[in-house]
Amino acid sequence: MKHIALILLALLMTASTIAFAVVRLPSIFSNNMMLQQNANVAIWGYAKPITKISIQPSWSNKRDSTLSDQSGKWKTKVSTPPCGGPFTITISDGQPVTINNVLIGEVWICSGQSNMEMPIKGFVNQPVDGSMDAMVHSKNKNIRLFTVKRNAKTTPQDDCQGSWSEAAPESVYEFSAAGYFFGRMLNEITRMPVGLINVSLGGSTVQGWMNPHALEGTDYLIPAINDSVKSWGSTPTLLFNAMLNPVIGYGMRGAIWYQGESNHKRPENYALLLEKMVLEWRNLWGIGEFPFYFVQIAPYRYNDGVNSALLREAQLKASKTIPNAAIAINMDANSPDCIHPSKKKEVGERLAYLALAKTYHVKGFQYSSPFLKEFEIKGSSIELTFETQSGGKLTSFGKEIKGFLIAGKNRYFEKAIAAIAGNKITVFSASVKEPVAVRYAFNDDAESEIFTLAGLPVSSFRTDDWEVK
Amino acid sequence: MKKITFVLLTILFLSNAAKADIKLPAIFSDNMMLQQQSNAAIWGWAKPASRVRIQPSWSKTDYTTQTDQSGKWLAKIPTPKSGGPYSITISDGKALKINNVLIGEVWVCSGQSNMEMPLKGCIGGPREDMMNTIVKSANPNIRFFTIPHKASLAPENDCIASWSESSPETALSFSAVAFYFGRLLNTILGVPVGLIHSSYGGSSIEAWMTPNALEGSGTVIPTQLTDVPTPNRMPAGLFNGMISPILGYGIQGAIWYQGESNQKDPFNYLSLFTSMVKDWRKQWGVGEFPFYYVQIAPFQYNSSTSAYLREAQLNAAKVIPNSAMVVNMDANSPDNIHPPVKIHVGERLAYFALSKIYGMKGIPCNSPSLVSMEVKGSIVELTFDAPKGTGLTSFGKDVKGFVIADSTRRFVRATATILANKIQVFAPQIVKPAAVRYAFDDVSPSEIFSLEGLPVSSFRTDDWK
Repeated sequence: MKHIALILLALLMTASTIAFAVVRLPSIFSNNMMLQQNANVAIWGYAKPITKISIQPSWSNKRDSTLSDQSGKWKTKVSTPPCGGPFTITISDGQPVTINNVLIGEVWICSGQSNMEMPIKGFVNQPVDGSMDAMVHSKNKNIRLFTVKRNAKTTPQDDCQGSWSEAAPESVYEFSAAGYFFGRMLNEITRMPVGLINVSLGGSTVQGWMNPHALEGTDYLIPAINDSVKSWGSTPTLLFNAMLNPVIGYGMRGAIWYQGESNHKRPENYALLLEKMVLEWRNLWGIGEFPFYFVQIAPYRYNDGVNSALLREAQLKASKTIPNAAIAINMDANSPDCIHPSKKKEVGERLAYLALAKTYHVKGFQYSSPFLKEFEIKGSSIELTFETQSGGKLTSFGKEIKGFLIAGKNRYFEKAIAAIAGNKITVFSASVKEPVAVRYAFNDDAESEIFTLAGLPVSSFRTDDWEVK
Repeated sequence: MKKITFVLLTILFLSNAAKADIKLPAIFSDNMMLQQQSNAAIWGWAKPASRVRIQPSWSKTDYTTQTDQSGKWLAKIPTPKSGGPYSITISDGKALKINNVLIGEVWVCSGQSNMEMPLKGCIGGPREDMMNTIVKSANPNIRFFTIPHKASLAPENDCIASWSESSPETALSFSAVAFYFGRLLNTILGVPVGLIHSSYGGSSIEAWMTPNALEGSGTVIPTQLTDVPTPNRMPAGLFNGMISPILGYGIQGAIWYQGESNQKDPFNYLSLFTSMVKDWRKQWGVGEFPFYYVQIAPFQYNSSTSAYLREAQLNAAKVIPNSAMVVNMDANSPDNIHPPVKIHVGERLAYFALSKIYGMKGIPCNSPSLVSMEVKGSIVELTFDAPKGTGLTSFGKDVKGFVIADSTRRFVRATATILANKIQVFAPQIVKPAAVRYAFDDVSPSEIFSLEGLPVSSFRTDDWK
C-alpha cells in the first residue's frame, strides 16, 4: 500500500512538472496588457511541439484553439470586442496560464531615437517641461504602458524584456514623454483606453530600425550573424531585430515616430529610407496601411551647415509620399543648445491632433501645420501661398519675421523682409531686383516665426532645388 | 394623585424650560468637515453636571458624555471613511443639529501674510491666474473655515467664524496657498478636504506660541493689551486668540508660511520654530501630525539677514520630526513681499502630503539639497541628493549666484558648472577655496532646480559669523 502511494506521488510529481510552465508567452502578452479593440489580434507563444493550445478570453463564450508547430511555436488570432475591460485571457495546453487585468482599447507603437525615448523624468540635466504636474495627475488605469528594453541583435528576436503597467507617477516617470503626452490626450478626448508600446533608443538611425529586405538597394551593410554588436543605434538592422521584431504583429492602431537627428549628415537618402521602412513595417505587421505619424526634428546647433534643414525637408517630403502619414512640425522647440528639447507635451499633443483628426475623425479643428502650396514672382517680390485648413490664416504673433532669404539667378541669398496677409506671405529684398527663389528658416537652428492662428508652426522650406554643399 | 402628577409634570416642564441649550464653538457648525477614520474630538458647553448625547448620522451608536463643573463637555467620536453629507445631533434633552457635515481630510493652515493672501490678492499684491482659479472653484467637497484676526491675553475657547463650501464667492476671500493645497489634494485623492485657515499678516512666530513654548527665549509675555503696540506681534497673543479656539480639533496635519516678520532676528528662529511645532503637537493631542511649511521667498529686505532666516528654516526641516519644507526661491518677486504666484507654493505643499501621508509613490517632492562638499584643488565640488539619472538643471541659463572664498573669508563671484547631481564651483582668484555660498543674500533668485522644477534653497558651506 505504501509502495503504491509512493509511486502515485512520484507520478503526480512528474506529471505536474511536465505540465508546469509549458505554455510560455512573450513579455508583450502579460498582465495589464492592452489589446486593440474591434480587431483580429494576433496572440502567439510557445509550448510543446504539436500540442493543442486553447485560448479563452473572458469577453467571449467561444474558445479558440490552435496547434503548436514542430518547434513549439503557436500563433492564432483572437477577435476583440469594443473597448472595455478589465478582462482575463486563459491560455492552456492542459495546464492553464491566465493573463489578468487585460484592457481593450487603442494601441499605438511609439518609436524613434532619444527624443522619443526621453522619459518624463528627463535625461541627465535635461528636463521635460511640466513633468511634475504630469506625474502628479498621471494615475489612470485606462492608460497602459510597455517599454521594450534597450537591446541590439544581429538576428530577429521573438521576445523582448518589458512589462505592462498602468499609468501612475512611478510608471509615467520612466516612460517616453512624447509617447505619454500623445496617449494622454487620446485617452482624454476619445475616452477610450490607450496602450502605448515604446520601442525607441537614443542615437539610433533609421537604418537601425529596418530589416535587410527594406535596406535592399541601399549602400548600408548588414552585419553578419556573428558580428560583435558595437554601435547599437547606427548599425543597420540591430534594433529592428532586437526591439521591434518582438512586437511586430501585435494588434495596434498605428505608430508614432520621432527620429532623424542621427541621420542629419545624410539628408539626401532619408526620405527614401523612411518610406521603405514604413512600407516594410506595414507589410510585416499585416494589418494594412496603418497610420504613421511622425515628428520633424527640431532646430539645433549641429554646426553642420544646412544639413539638418535638408533633413527636415526630407521629412516634409516623406510626409507627402508615404501613404496615410502625417508630420508634426517642431520648429518652435526653442532648444538650439540641447538636442533634447524640454517641450515634449507640444510634440505628443501635436501627434495626437493628427490621430484625433485623421484616425478618430474628430472634426472642426486645424490639426496640421500649413505647407507651402505655390509661389509666384511678382516683379521684385515673391508671393508665397500656403495650404491651410478651413481657410486658416497665418501669424507671427506680432513679431518681426527675420528668417526669410531671397535670391536671384546668381543663387546668392540675401536677407529679406516678409509680410503676412491671410494665408500668403510676400517676400522682398531691395538688393535682389529679380528674385527667383526664397528660403525660410533654412539652417540648423533657426527659430520658428510663422504659425497658424492656433500656434502650429510652419516648417522650414525652400522654393528651389539647388544643390547645397 | 392627579394633582401630584400635575405638579411633577410642571416641575419637569419648568426645569426643561430653564435648561440652557447646548452651546457649540464655531468650529462645530453647519458645513463642517471632520477628519476621516479618527477619533474626532467634539466639545461644547451645557449645564454643569448634565448628560450630553451625540448622534452622528453615519453611526448606529450614540455617544454620551458628562459636562464638568464649568459646563464643558468633550467626546471623541469615531469617524468613518470619507463621505457624507451627514448630520450630527447633540442633545442634553433638547436637541441641536449640525447639518451638511462631510468626512474627509482636515488641515490647519497658518502663518503670516503670504498664507493669508486671498485668491483675490491683496492691495499691491495681485495674484496670478486668479480669474481662472476662482471661476472653477465651486466644489462642495472643499470646505473653508477662516478664523478672524484676534490677539488675546488668555486662551480663547471660541471664535466668530463659520464653515463654507468652496465657491467663487467664498474662494475669492480664502487663502490662496491653502486653496491650491487643498484643491490638489481633493483632485488627486478624490476625498473631501477641509481647510482651517488661521493666519495674520505681519505676524511674528512668537505671537503663535504659548508662554510655555516661549520659555527660555527671553520673550516678554504682555499682561495687558495696552502693553501691545501691534497685535500681530504680541507674544502668545495669536495663539490665544486664533489657535486656542480650535486646539484639539481632529486634523491630519498643518501647513505654515511664516518667517518674513522674523527675518531681522534669524538666529533665534530655529529654536523658536522647533519649540512652537513641538508645543502645538503636544497641545493638540492628535500625535506628531505632519507639519509642512514654506521657506520665505527672496525679497529686497535691504537687511542682508533674510538668507540666515532661510537657512534656519532649511535646518528646521532636519530637526523637526515629520516636517518638510517647500523651497520658494523661484517666487520671482524681489520688489513685492507678497509673490503673486501662489499655485506653486500650495501645490508643492500638497506634493509632500501626497507622497508622505497619502502613499502616492514616485513623486519627487523634495527640492535637491546639499549633501557634501569636496575641495578638489582650486575647485569646490558640491554633491546634491538629486538622483544621478536626472541630476540638476539651470534650464539652460548661466548660474551666477555662487560665491567662493578661501580662509581669508572674502567671497568673490564664482562660475558654476552642473554635472549630473554635482556642481563644480571655481574662481580664478581663489587658489585654495574653503567655502562656497549660493544665492546667500536677500534677493537672489533660484537658478538651480531638480528636473521637475523644484528649486534648490540658498545655502552656505561655512558657519562663519
